[in-house]
Amino acid sequence: MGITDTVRKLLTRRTFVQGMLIILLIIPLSRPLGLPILIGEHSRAFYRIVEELPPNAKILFSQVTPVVLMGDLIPQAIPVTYQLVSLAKERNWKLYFVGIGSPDGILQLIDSEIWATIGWPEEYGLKYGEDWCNLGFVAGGDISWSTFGSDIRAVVQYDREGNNIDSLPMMQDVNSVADFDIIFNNGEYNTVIVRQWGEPYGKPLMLLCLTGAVVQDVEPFYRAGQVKEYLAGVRGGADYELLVNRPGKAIASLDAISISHIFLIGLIALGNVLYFAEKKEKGRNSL
Amino acid sequence: MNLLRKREISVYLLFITSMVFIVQYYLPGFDPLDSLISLLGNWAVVFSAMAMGLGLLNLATNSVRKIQKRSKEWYFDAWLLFIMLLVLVLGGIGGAKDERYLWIFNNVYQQLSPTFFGFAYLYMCSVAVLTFRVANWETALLMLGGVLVMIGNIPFIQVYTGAFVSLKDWIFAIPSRGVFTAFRISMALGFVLIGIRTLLGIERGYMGAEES
Repeated sequence: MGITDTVRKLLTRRTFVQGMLIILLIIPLSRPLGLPILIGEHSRAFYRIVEELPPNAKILFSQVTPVVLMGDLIPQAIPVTYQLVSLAKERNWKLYFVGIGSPDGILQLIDSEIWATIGWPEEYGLKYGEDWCNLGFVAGGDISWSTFGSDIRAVVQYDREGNNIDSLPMMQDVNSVADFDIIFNNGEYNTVIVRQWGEPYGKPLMLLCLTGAVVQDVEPFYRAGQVKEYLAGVRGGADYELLVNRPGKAIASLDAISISHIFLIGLIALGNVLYFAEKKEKGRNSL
Repeated sequence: MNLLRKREISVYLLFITSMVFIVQYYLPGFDPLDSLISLLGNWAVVFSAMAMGLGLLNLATNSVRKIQKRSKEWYFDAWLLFIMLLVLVLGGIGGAKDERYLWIFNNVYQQLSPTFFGFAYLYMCSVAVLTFRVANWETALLMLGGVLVMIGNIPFIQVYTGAFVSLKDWIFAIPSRGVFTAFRISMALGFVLIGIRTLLGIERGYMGAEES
């Protein structure tokens, strides 16, 4: 048996490839290699926009984070939320959180992943109902986004804590998306948010989105000016952690991303080398 | 035939409701319409919430039927039913902040969901050797584009070589954006056409199969 056959047999054995990958992922995750990172332009621009938000700004933060995608989305939400809450007191910003459409634990994810990591807003001097609030979960698709956009009280009567939203001081002069100065969306439904909140009310949209294809989906809206700025996946999250000077989950997982990408490219290359070697061998045998 | 089962009633209802939304879009600030839109929106949210309950009921009914019939792998349905009821009871009695309910959410559901997503990558890697092959010019081009974008996306490579990043950015900014924009516009035009057909009662797929 030639070396080609041995390598082919090894590589076509699923357990071997998957085992190798698991080992390669565990190493950087348990002991980060500290590979260097270049902060992307989108992340810098995103950070700058938040830094330059005017005092007294009303900020709507929509969380549409299905649990299955949290690995990509939460590492971005953590540093962005950190930047918002750490500046909110000084700038008198009002932060409104809401989850529309994606039911699986949006609200719980905010608690267990975001606040548990950076600390609750009260630790930054913010008071619930006056400086920040969680408007809870609203079921439904396009129509819920649309109705929330035009008349918040038509779909939200009570906040997540069970308070009537009319009893919250920060809700007194807010009843539509038009009343906010900027909108953040973490997760899915980017096209819906452009359609239902961005375009009709002309408010700047800041998107925290998935990597790969979703970024490509957002890019046309960005170029058309319908999306002010976006962050792209864990990579964007890692950039942001560096920008807010708070290293966390995203940076820790970047080494694993680098290694897994290289491993996959190596597999593809090796697969093709074997394919051409086999082809050549077959051609030789048929002569 | 029962009046409520007549398909025309659904078509008329859909037409009237849709027209309310369309007219309101072009007449913003016209109070009677705005109030009606708010009311309809509120109904839609309630219906969406009801749909979740209906889904739950449907799942439970199907599972019970499978258990009764002792269908293949019925024990999975029994397990599903047990967990569903457990979470429902814990969440229902203790609320969304009940410690036991949160334990299940944080330690089981929240961990399992991304794990399944991770499996997809593991399987993709194990079949990459056999499937991502340069068999002809078309696959060669596809592979070249894919590999270049992947290399450009490797975080530490971006620090050392700008060439791959520039190439990746060019692929993203020019060919890919062009294709995605065209795709988006085509989809939007398709939506408009389907909307018009639905409004006019030509498209009736949403009502289910026609009775013969």
